Amino acid sequence: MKNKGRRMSDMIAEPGGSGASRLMIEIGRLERHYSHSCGVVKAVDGLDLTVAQGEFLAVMGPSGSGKSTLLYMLGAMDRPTGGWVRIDGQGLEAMSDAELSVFRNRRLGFVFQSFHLLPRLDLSRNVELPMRYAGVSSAARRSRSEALLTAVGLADHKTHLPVELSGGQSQRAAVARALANDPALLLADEPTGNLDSRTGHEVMGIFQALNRRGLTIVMVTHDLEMARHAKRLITMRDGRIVEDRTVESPNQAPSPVAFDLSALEKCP
Amino acid sequence: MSVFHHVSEGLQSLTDHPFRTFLTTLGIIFGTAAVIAMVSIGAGAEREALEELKRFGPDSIRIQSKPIEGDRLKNAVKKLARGLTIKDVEVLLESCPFLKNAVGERTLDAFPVYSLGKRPAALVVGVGDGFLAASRFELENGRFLDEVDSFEAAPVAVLGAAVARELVGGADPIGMVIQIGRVRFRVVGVMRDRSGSGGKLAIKSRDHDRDVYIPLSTARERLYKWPIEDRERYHELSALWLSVKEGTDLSAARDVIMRILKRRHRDMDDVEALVPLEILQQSQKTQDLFNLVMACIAGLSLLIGGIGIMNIMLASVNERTREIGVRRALGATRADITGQFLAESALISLSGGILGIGLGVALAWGISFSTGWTTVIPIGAVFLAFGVSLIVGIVFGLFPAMKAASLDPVTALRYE
Ligand SMILES: Nc1ncnc2c1ncn2[C@@H]1O[C@H](COP(=O)(O)OP(=O)(O)O)[C@@H](O)[C@H]1O
Ligand SMILES: [Mg+2]
Repeated sequence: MKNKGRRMSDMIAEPGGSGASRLMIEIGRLERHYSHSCGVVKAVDGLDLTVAQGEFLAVMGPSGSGKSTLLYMLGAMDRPTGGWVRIDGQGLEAMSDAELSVFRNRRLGFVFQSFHLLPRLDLSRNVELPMRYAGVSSAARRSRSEALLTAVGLADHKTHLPVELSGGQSQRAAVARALANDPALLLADEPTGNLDSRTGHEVMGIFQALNRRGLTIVMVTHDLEMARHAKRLITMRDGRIVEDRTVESPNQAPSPVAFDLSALEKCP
Repeated sequence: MSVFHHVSEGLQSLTDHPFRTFLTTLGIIFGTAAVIAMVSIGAGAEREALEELKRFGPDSIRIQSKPIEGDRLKNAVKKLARGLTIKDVEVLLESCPFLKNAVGERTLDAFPVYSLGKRPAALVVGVGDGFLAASRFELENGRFLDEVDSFEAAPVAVLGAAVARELVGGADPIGMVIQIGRVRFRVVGVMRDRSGSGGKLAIKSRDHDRDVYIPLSTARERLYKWPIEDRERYHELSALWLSVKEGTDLSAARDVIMRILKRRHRDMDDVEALVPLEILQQSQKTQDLFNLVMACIAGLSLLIGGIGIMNIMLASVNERTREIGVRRALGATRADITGQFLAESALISLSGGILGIGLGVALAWGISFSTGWTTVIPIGAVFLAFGVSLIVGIVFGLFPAMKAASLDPVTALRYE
């Protein structure tokens, strides 16, 4: 298991392209069909899309249009029924389940609508979890989780359990966890869906700050207000992209007061 | 991810539902307790048997006279049968080359012992030459009866430890005079205390600490006359202490001896043979049966315990489906998920095992206390119980763990 992990990480550490023109996401004729007794649901139905490194993409569309399904396929969680996906230069089709797990662990970060912090673990242990799966030493884990929690303004909440946090704090902790292994791509499914508009803007501020540091972000939302924080916006309907445009003068969310990414610079 | 990490997380989840977890472990607790109790009782019995065998001699055979009464006695008198006699001893020694030793003893329960105005509880026993060696008893003080005593029918006696204690307390009784019936005897020796060594387990014997040994010849010449018409005195001797040479088959030897005695006793069924080794082997069979019953209880409890663990783990997998999805999203492999749930079920089972070991030790003590059996708790049994509970946890946790690992990540994550 460990050896396999090391091999995987060597593989994915190779640069996929050169400089700014590097593509983070390439998908072609992507399909995800669910077959039921009463027919076939075409959740995603023939998508072509490329996302360059450093983009901040918002995916909009009505409920059931296939946004989450697309996101899980980008996130190496779900296998397409047709077409292909390359993330950070890696084709996902050929990977085994274990290789996909390692890929998610090292290269991807997930943020969910309802936070999905593990209720039994305190914040440090939640943030350390991806590093544990990566086999990071406990000292390195501790200092990294401390830096991450400090960066999202939760330094004083390290030993708190998720139930003790507000929604905004929970989502900030979840973002810290998503950043644990320094991912190349952040995938967020309705990250502001359970937040009021003020804390929603806080999270958008964090996303924009991360994006400025070069992190590629794909965010699913059905809130246009939030979507307008992204640089590019696609709209889906019935499993297809119906619109793909650049956002003219995106909304700028201020970084939350306590938020300070410079704490991360010291980390390996 | 390391086993250590799975264990530390598993420990945490044990405290999630402490009462539910405790109920789950009951089967394991009883199972391991039964294993411990079984092994410790077995080991105790084995040790006791070995000690008993050592005490009685693995090469010894006892011939015990049986009382003959009523019509059978009339019949015996008519046949001129004479019961167990000193002559039997001589004949046996002559005709059985495998015999190492043969000594007769005669208990004289009609003769009270007096001394210093006291009448201690004692049993006068007339013994033939070589009794000390044949009986494997030990002398504490002075000397035992010897061939000269026997030849002269000397009025000398050796006291059992309890008799000596009752007469003189801690003082030295050697040289003092005791009265047996109407005859005065000089004390020449004291036997070593055997208290607690009366066969508890299988071989019943009288309390030899209450014996007062005198030469058989003295008993015959000074205390009673034989043969006489008294019907009570059918047997001259009450028992023979025999031992066989090394390498002799005890059962075969017993058969030969009994055939000779039967012929000499004119087919009267008036003696029985006791072979300690055989008795212990018999008791071992009883022990084996007991062990089998305990093993069944242990196995059944462990099976029930294992099913309980499987049940609780399936419930846990169900409750934590979303958590499994989240962990998969964060990079947990199937092996990580399997390891996590296996560690948990193994820990549940192990904690039951540890409680069970405690209960088993208590059970062994309780049994030892209430039955007087020796119990020994071998460290191996503790490891066995530990190992068994670990294995039960892993075996019965495997299915739920694999079920957890095989969940589709997206389905698990979207699970409400
Ligand atoms: N496991 C599944 N089995 C069957 N149909 C599914 C499954 N998951 C999603 N779908 C269907 O796929 C379509 C797209 O779902 P989803 O991607 O969740 O939409 P969105 O996130 O845009 O609301 C929906 O019609 C949904 O019912
Ligand atoms: Mg959705």
